[in-house]
Amino acid sequence: MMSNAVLVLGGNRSELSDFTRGMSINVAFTNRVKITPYAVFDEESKGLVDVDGILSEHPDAIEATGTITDIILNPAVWFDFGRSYRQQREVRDIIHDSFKNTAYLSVVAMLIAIIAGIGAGVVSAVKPYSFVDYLTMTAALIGVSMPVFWLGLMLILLFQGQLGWVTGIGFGEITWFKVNLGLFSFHLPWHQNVILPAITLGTVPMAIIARMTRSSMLEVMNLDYIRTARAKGVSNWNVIIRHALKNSLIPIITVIGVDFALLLAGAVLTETVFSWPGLGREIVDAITFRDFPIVMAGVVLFAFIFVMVNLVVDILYAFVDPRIRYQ
Amino acid sequence: MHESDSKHGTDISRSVNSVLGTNCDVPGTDLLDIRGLRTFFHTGEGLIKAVDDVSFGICRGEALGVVGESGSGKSVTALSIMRLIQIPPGEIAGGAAMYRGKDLLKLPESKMRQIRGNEIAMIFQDPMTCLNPLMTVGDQICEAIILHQKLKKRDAWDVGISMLEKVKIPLPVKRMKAYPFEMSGGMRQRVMIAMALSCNPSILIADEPTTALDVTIQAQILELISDLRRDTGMAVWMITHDLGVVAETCSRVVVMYAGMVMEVGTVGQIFHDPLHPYTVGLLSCLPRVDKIRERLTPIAGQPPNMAALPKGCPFVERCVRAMEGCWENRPEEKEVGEGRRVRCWLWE
Repeated sequence: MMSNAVLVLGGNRSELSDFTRGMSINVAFTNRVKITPYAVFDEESKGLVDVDGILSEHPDAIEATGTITDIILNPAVWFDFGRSYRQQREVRDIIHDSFKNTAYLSVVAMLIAIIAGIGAGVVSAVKPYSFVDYLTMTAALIGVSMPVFWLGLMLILLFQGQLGWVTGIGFGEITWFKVNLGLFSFHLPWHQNVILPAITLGTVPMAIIARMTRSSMLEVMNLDYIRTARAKGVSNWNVIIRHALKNSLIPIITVIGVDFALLLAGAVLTETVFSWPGLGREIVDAITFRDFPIVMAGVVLFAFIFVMVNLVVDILYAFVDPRIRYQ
Repeated sequence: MHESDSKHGTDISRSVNSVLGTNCDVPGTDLLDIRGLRTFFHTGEGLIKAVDDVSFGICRGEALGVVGESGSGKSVTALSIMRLIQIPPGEIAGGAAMYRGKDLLKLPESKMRQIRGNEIAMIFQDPMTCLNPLMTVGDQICEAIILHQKLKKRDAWDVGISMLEKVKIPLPVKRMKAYPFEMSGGMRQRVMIAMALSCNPSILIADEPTTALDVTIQAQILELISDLRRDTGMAVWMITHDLGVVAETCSRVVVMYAGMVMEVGTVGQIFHDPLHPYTVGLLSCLPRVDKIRERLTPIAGQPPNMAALPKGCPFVERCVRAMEGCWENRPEEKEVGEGRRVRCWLWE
């Protein structure tokens, strides 16, 4: 037990970080997953000292790992983070349940941000230095600078407190309602509780996307091929959408990708304000209670999401711009 | 005029006549008639009169050259007629451009769109930047055809292929699916020409079409434009600062300086018997085949600052024949013969 503890706490970190460096993300894969920091290795007695008496309550938390081979075959390396100390559930299940909700919230927020952001950016770019432009860009500046938690609270205060349009907090329920269009009908989902958190979460990316769209469009609108398109008699609207917007998409996609990854990974404040049962809140709770398996799983998942989103963005470039090809 | 000048002029007019085969030497008010066009730009440095009282006409099927140095207003004139000037900071402050009984400067935007690309087409200087990098060549050609001729995509595509054939692009069927970055500069300019001609315009405005190209490609493109003009009967409005290009392709010349027309005449008249000291200066800058090792005489001084033109003649500071009155009074354009106009006190 003693030698195991030394191995666990002191050794073999380098080998493991070589593995992580391959992903170019520095996640400290030690196998502390199985050893809580409440136990400290004591030089004199050559044994583990149980600081808070937690080990005696949870004996399986100090499952020994043994040899180097065991460490390399540490389940954490293979994305198995064991059980949560606090909830006594598999970390896999906890992450699965909460990430599902965060992903859903982020997608809704991002849809709002993309549609409103690109729309506002295009409107600004079409008539630069006009009243509409100044109005939109001032709104975007406020949106970028707005503290998310404050915005969330204000939205609750307004729409739940004063106007009473929205009720309830937390995930709530998704309902389906029927749309009848004479010959055929279909069902649409309605989820009241996602609206305010999604707006809150989407405000900052929306503002960033709007500013990026504007500057990128303004640059493109002065280029020669826009004049060529006009000289062909293409209508103003078609020039903007078909020629200018498509050519300004690359930087827009880049910020959308980065923001989306950020949302997926860290909707902490919004989820806390709206009691949304998401990953961000789960991890904040886990940090508060030093529930390390969940924290580690979360960090690894964030890293994974960042890598994947960047990969998707890179692939999207090639779809937008025929000059970009990957061998 | 000097003897050498006349000799040179004869050479050029002979070559011109062989290329042209046109008889529109009379200044036309036939197809497009620009009268007193003024285009101003409101900038931080003040009011720039980029085009100030410009008048000339284009006949059906003729090739008109507009020459002048950079900033002389030749491109802005064309862009004003096409209504492609950005407003603000630009402003079309006056004048008229009569085309088939309609004043282009007063047409509503929707009507103007039916003229652009359909009846008056334009090609630009730098083919590298004038094509949309994200659209295939075919899509860009078809865009105008679908728009103006109301054809279905598939039929427009066939028209596009025949247009590429017309501008002598090899493998047109395959090239339609290519992107601009897969083509050379000369090929792209051919694509631009194909695009401009796809709706059989009656006027093609070519804004320095060969400036960005190699000399060999320049000759090919100019020949292509001349051939197409003869085949289709469209008029060509060639904007250039290269007198060689004018001599090769045009029948009539408008010389511009500081946003004003300085002299109008046939190619033969301009090269053989230039009236305005500026035209004389331009011609003496040209290298000559018939005179060996002669130093070229440039026009002294710099192009004028458009925000602060002299009160009198805009060319007075650089003019070798400037008189006292030239500083104070601006000359008017004066008719000095059939189709011959000059803006200079020497000819009053």
